[in-house]
Amino acid sequence: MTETMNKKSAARENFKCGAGGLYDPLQSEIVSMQKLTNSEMFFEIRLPDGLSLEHQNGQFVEVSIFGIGEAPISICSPFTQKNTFELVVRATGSVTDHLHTLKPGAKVGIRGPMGRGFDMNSWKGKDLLIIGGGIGLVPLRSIIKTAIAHRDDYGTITTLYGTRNSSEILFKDEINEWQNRDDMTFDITLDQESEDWNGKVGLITTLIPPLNIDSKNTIAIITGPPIMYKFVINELKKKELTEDNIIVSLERMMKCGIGKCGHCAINQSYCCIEGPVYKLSECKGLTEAL
Amino acid sequence: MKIIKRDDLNNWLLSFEECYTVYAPVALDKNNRTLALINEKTDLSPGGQLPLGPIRLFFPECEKLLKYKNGQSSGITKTFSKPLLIFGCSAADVKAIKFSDRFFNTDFVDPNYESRRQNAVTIVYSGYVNNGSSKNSANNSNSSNTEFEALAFSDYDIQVVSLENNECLVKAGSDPGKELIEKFNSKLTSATPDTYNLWNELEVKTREIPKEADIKKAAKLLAHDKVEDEFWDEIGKRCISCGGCTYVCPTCTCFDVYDRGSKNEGVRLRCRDSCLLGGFTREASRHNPRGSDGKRTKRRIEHKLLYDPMRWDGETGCIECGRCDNACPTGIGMYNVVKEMLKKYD
Repeated sequence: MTETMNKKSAARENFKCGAGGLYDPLQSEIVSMQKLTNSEMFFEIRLPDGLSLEHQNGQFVEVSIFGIGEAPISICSPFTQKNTFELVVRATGSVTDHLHTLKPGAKVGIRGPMGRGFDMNSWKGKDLLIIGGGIGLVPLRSIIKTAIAHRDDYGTITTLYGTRNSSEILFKDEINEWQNRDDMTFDITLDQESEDWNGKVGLITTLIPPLNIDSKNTIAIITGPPIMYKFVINELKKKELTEDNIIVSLERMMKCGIGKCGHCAINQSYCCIEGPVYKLSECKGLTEAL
Repeated sequence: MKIIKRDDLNNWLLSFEECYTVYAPVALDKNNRTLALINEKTDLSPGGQLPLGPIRLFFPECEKLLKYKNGQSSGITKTFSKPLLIFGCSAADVKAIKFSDRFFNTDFVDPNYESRRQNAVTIVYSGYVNNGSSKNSANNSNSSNTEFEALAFSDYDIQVVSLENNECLVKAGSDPGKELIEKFNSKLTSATPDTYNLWNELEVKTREIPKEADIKKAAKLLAHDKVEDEFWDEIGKRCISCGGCTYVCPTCTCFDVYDRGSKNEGVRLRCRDSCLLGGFTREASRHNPRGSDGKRTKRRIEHKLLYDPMRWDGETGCIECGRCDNACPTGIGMYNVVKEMLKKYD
């Protein structure tokens, strides 16, 4: 119980909302937008009155369009970025479809940051194995950028990224840059072959066995579609990673973001305040988690 | 402790209007009662459990969270000009309010619940009560409709215990309740030592009321993982996803959020939602972690008997009011499921 309460307190830290209380969003401005794929749009957003979001990597915000509703969206900019923050939105519902039609300068409502993010402080000195499937790469971008900015704080940095086909690859320019660095590895595999792709083809799990992992000194971070987790975790366990060193970020339907509406509950845990980031060891007993 | 004549209850409650918004059970017709604002002509109909409990006044079916106009928004919280005073709660109802208080006030304090709940007063009505099936119930204790309603042992501000004659005992259960009894005392007379003995006897009688089913035993079975998924699949087959159980449950707190209006002007609402509905956990990707009736019925019972105790210091989320059993058209309310569970696994 005490442990749960501590986790909850972390969720409330830095939470921002309008003057009308917890459910009232802050009217914020879209600074820039960039189409990443046919269905994903990148947004840079500025809070009003010079406020900084002050988020942890891995947290999320509720983005609000009055007259339509709210949607929970992962933050993809590193916590060190002040002034503005960044999101990637897949058009998949009424709020997200509408967001894609907006232009820079338009206003959106923001509540957040919400949830428990990645505790990167505790990863200092460790090797990082970052594993993203599809749109799961979005919150992981904040980790990669932070780790690069504080390169000396971490050991090796390896990112494995799997997505369906070449047209769905996110952050192409940045990935290019990351692949060209000699102080980290970034490996991609696609589910589908195509003429414009001469890289690896196959599921993301195929990238794990060839890795040389120092199991006692590695933190693996996994974000992706629900089906991906157990297969990736299986491969990591073969590499003898412990459940304390495997970190997952879970997707759930989140309406309120403050542990009240009940939609995101995973057994006794409210994913929107105690997650979305969990150690695998914390998922023990959370039978609905994976 | 004080004594009040049952005929004086309405006037006593009206005297609170100076400081409170007073709600009490009234009869809508022969078979229906609800909590409503009272006046001099109100025909009070307390006694027996209301179909929807008093928690509705703190967490209603639907309420406005905020209003917006031309990009500007403001929260909506204040609803009552004076704090609420709710007469006619059952012992289970005040337990449910305590449970909900903790839920809505932990970590993030819910502003809407808080604004309604702040300084609100609960008055339990128990003892030899009319079961509420006919009007004039409060003046009708000697009729065949009289039932013994459990006394509350805690969590109330004031408790009014109806006796077999035309009198009621009045006792404070909190400091605000004590002050109110002292302040609004025009209809009250002092209790005698006999009265205290009588109260104790009625508490003993309350403890002797047989339980419909052993909820705690069922909670233990779940805690020890004794109930198989096949059991839930079978219960799930009987669920018609009407959401009735969660709608009447006084400890259910789930809600959905809706915008009503145009993009320029409108309101954001929250309305009660139900974990028994298929779309409750469906994500934007269309993935649904609880994609079957079996998983959803399992969730409802396990939430109350397994996960609530884990979260709230061992306390189950079922306050044993039986409302879900009354509401469920196919007989899979809490008591019925627990009976089947105990029969199969105990």
